[in-house]
Amino acid sequence: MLFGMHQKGTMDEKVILQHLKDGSREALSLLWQGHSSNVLNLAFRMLKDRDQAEDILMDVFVQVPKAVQGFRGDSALGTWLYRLTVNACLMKLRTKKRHRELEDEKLDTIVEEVIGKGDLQNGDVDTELLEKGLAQLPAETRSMLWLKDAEDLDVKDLASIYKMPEGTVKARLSRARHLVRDYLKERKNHG
Amino acid sequence: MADKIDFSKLERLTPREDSWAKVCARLDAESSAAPAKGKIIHIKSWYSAIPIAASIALVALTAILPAFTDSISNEEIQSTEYVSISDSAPSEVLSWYSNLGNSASDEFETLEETVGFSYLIKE
Repeated sequence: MLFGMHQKGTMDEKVILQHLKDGSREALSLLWQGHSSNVLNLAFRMLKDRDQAEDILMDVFVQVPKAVQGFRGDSALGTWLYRLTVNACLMKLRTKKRHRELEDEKLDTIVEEVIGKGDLQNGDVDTELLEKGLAQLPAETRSMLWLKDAEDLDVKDLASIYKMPEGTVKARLSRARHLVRDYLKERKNHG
Repeated sequence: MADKIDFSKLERLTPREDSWAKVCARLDAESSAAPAKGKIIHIKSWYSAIPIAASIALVALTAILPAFTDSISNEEIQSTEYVSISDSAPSEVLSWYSNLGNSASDEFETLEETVGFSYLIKE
């Protein structure tokens, strides 16, 4: 193997970045091993479609060798990949021009796709509710909430990914959490 | 953070087994197509180069043309000689010209054709 085993260390990232810029397939493979799952899950959170998320994952990694030439290494490679993913997903949503329709259309099938058909167990009711609660959010905000609360990214990274001030990110996250919680409470009270 | 949404119950997806192979195949296809691209004549770039060149030529002409026309008109002014009718015309023409409108007669005064023609031919 060309590189060390530690991918998250700053030094190793720099080495990987340099090899990526040189067009190394092995460096790209390391990037895939370290980040493909994160990219896929972020894309899935935004698009709510497994096949489209896989397409985005492949699109992102195909464009890496070219896109990396313009990457100066100001942020971590993972953060940069998230930015590429968010942009690719937003582009896809805009192109289709059926963002809102997609939200409603996929709402009923998403739980089946993630969990498996007809296999809802006790705890899965909450999961389903959570999915529906998240579906109330715009795709961008939903992905932001996912990166913050599920992937533990800090606000600074989110500000870099979504190209907005940290204060705006915090406000959006706060509003998103309230919206999801209110939805869950309301549904549980009526359920 | 205390008020985090708990996503731990949501299943995490993993990429399909063949996804990486597909990425590699696409990259290989792109790299094999890249040298062929170099052999293609970029007519599209010509299309953009021609209008740009034409625009530059037009702007240059617009800038230079007034200088030419100025020099031409100056030359014309310098070469044009003002000749008074009183210096060149014969006395019949002059007297006819000066009497135009002064006659009490209602008849239309005409210059004798031969005089008029000879003046015009001379001029």
